[in-house]
Amino acid sequence: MSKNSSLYKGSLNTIIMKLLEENGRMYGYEITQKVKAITAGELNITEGALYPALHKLEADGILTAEVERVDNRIRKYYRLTEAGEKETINRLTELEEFIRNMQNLVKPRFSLE
Amino acid sequence: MLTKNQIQFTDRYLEQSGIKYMDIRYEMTDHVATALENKEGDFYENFRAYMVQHKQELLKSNRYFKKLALKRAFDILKDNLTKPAFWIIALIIFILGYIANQFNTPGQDIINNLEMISMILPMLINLYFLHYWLFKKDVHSVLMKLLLFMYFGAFVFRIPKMVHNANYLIAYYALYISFYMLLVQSVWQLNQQYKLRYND
Repeated sequence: MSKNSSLYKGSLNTIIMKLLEENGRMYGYEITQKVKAITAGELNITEGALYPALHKLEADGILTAEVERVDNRIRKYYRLTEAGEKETINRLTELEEFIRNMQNLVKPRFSLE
Repeated sequence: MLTKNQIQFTDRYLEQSGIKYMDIRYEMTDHVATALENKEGDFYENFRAYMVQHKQELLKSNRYFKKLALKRAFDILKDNLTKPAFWIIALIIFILGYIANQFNTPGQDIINNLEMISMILPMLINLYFLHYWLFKKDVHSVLMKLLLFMYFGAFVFRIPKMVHNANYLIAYYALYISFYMLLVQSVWQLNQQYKLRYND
């Protein structure tokens, strides 16, 4: 991840879940490119961050994986499970509240003086 | 699109770099291959440049994956202990062993028979483990961790002959045999899942 990774680190799982909610199923490289495109290159997810997150989400039952033979190799696709879909809604709600609170905390106070 | 040889080159490189388990290595191979397909120029030059930049991250993924595989293997072992089947099988073996022990005749020591069964089961597993480790081209992570545990468990969990109470020994062998029988079933099921998934 990029130099301000500490800000994004806690959100990686939510980012992955949100993308899968919107796109159905995706594979690892596809996720990194989608994030890069959406953030105009601002956020680069490294393999060392992405795959541990994907495998942990799979082990926790949030994601399920299926493999397909594509272009001379095996590709692993991820999609949300039913539990994953519910958890995504929870996480997005939590993130929205977080953003709202942060905005309230950091926005400049205007003075009439 | 990369050629079959280029994919195999990538796969072999990752394996020699320490990414031994096929379930993570296939995914890394696809990731690297897809990244390289989006680059123009010579494949080997692009590959070299890619690895200079990304190899550490790929190995980091691999290290985490191995820890997760160990955890998943332990979860399978733990689940087997809480299955009703484990206790039912152990109880049946204990009852049969207890009854047989009441009718012990010289030369037909039930405890020695149970000990022999408890040695044969792990021996068969050890043979499979050695075959898997030495001859299987693609080794799956969780399966390997389970087999490793069973291989060493067979030596570690051998109760020394300081327990003289026959009923305690029968109970121990009943639990031991039941546990290994369920482990064999778990290994078999896992193997079938991987064959189905990876068309092995």
